Amino acid sequence: MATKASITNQKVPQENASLKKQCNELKQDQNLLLDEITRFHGLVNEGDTTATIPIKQFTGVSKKMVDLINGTIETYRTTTINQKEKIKKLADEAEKQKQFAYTMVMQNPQPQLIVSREMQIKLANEAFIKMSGIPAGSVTSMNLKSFKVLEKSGHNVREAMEKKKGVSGFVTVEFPSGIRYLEQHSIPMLDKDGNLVSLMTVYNDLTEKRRIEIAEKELTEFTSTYQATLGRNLSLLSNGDMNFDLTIPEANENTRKAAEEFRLINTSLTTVRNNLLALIKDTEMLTQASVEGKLATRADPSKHQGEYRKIVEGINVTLDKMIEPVEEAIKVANEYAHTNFAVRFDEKLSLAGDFIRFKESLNNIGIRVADAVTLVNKQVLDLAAAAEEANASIEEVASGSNQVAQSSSSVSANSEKGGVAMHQVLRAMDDLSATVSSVATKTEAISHLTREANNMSKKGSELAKRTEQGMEGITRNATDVDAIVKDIKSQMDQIGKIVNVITDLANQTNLLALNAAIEAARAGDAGRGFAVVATEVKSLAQESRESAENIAEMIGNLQKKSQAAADAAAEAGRTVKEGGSALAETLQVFNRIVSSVDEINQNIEMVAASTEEQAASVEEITASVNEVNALIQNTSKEAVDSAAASEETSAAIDQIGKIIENVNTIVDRVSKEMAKFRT
Amino acid sequence: MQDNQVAERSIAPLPRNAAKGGNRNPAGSQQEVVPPVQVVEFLLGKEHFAVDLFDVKEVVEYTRITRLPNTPSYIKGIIDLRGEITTIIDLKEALAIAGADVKSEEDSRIIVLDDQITLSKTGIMVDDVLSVSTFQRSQVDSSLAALHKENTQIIGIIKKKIRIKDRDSTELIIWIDVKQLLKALEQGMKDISLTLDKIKSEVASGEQDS
Repeated sequence: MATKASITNQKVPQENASLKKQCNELKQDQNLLLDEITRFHGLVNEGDTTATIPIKQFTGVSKKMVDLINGTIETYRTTTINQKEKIKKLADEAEKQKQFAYTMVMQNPQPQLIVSREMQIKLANEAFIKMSGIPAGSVTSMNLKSFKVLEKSGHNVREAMEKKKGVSGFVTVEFPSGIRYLEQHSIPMLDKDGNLVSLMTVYNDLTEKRRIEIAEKELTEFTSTYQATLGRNLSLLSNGDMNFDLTIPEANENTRKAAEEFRLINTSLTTVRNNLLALIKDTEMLTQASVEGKLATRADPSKHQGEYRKIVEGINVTLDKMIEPVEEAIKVANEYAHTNFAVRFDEKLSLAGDFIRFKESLNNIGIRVADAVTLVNKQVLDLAAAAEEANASIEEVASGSNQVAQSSSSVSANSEKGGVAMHQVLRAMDDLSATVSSVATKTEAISHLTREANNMSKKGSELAKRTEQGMEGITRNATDVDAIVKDIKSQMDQIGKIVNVITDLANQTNLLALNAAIEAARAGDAGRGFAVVATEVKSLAQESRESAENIAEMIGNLQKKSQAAADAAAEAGRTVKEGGSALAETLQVFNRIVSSVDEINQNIEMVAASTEEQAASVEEITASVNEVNALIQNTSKEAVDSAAASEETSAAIDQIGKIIENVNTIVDRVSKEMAKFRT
Repeated sequence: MQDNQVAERSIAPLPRNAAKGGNRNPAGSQQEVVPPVQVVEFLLGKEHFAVDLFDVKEVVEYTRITRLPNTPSYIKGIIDLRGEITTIIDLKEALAIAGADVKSEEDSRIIVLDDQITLSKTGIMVDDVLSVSTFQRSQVDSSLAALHKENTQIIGIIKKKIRIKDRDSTELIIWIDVKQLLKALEQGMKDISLTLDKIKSEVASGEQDS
């Protein structure tokens, strides 16, 4: 700027004062101008666009200069304002454009994103936020790479950036709102030089569309599966197979409704099957009843419906028609069974076809049997007469044979009785023998026992003798003790005497001491020493006397005790003497026992000897009895043989008799039975 | 003098009495000191008695006593003591102590009295002589004697400390005045004395005769 150039003081020639004055005025003017320009410069620099240099102060050249400066400034200012307005207009336009673009993106119903070259999300429209469920606040801090892409196909964002060309593809992304299947259009945004600035992605949410496609596909598959099963079931039904496959494929939310309908179809199918089965069951029941001959059995038509009922009713009518002739036949046959062959089939019944032949056959049976029975009756009467005659003859033979049998059996019985008696004798002999031998055994045992008793009593006797000796010893000892005690006693007496002497001495000493004390006391001081001695002597004497008294007492006790000992010894002696006499008695008893035992022994030996003799006799008798027994048994056997022979004869005759009797009976019975037949 | 001393003693034993009896008191020079009492203790029945030591000459064993006819009951008789006829007084009888015990007379003792206090040689028969004992005056209680002035035979009661089975106990000893007793028995004694004198002279004349 021109105002910036500085004007320095010039050397002005001082030739004249006016010049000088002019110079000074000029100088002042210039300095003022400089000041103003400086101030103006400062204002402009501070941004004051309306600043001007005040012109009034200046005159002449300076005024012109200022005017020029102000004019220049004004021109410049006007131009600047115009430019600014133009720029503002452009900026407003740009802002409008920007707002438009922003609205276009933000308000777009299709989800859109603006990402940087690094795929950082710069802008996400409301549709995207709604679709993804990502909070509006955090979406711009995310990167496209951080999306969880499950599946992708077609062209992707990277390709669009590389090719700088819009591409399309499909991605499946897991958003917070759920898994979305999206059509993705990537549109690179270039500047005018063709450099990539950012990238716009536009999404088309195909999730719902895809879901419906899947649902339709599943439903089609489900239905076709069931239709195939249904076709098979109908085929089974037409072939009479009731084992239907009633499974319905597992349904999901897409096929649930269809499954419901299929279930209804299945229910109907089951009803058909049940009705058919009921019909079959009744038919089978009737067939079975017919096979078993239960012609009265009928099915209940009310259990069936519609056409099924008609079938059952038809069967029932058929059975009714069949049962009439059959029942008549049963009646006739029953009469035959009760021997009434005179009865015939009821002619009133209207019969047809095979049933007429059935009637004639039955009637023929009655006619033929009646003829045969008449013939048999006649012949049976003849047979009865013949049998009667045979019976009479046989009875005669039987009575003779019976007599023989009786005689020989009585012989046999007698000899058997003899045999039994002999057996009894033998058993008695055996018993006797056993008794005798047991007597022998017992006598031996007794003999043994008596020997032992003998030994024992001898030992006892010896022991008693020894005891007696011991007793004598005790008696001797007791006597000795008595003597010793007496000796002690006399010595004690001696000691007693000595003690008495000591007591006397002590008493006298005491008295002497007393007198000495008296004397000493009377002697006053001179006797004091002696008084002490006297007191000592007196106390000694006292002690001696007490000791002597103690001794006397002790001796008294000892004497008493030794007396007691002597008494005890004497008592012992006496007791021993008594014991001695008892022992003597015992000895005698023992001796008596010994002699008794000896006697017993002798007797027993005698018994043993006689027992042996007895045993010998018993054996002899037994032998004889055995011989007799053998003889009897022989006799018996022979008698038995004879009896058996005659019994056999008798039995044979009886047999014949019985047979004839049987014949008679049979003839009787036959004629009786034959009489029952009505012809 | 002896009678006087007895009288004084029976009333109240005083220190100056001891001074008066100085001839008998070895510690007589010390006038302030109360002299102890010396007595001979003996038994009459179950009771303890005592007489002044200086009234006793000796103690002898019992010997056979010859009874004298026509004498009071308390005169037991006479004995020959080493050639001297000695009269024996039965003290239990004299003091009227009832219930003569079962102890045989042979076990008795005879306290021979000092010749100075008796007219003739005299002994008193007691059940037993126990000891010669010394007591302090403080142990003697004379209040009993003071109450019964007419009974001057008892000087006082000596309280003797003894130990029986580890327990302190007091034994009461009756201190009797032999001289007063003899005075009471004087008449009988005089008679005996005369009799004895007569016997003596007869014996002497008999001896002269022979």
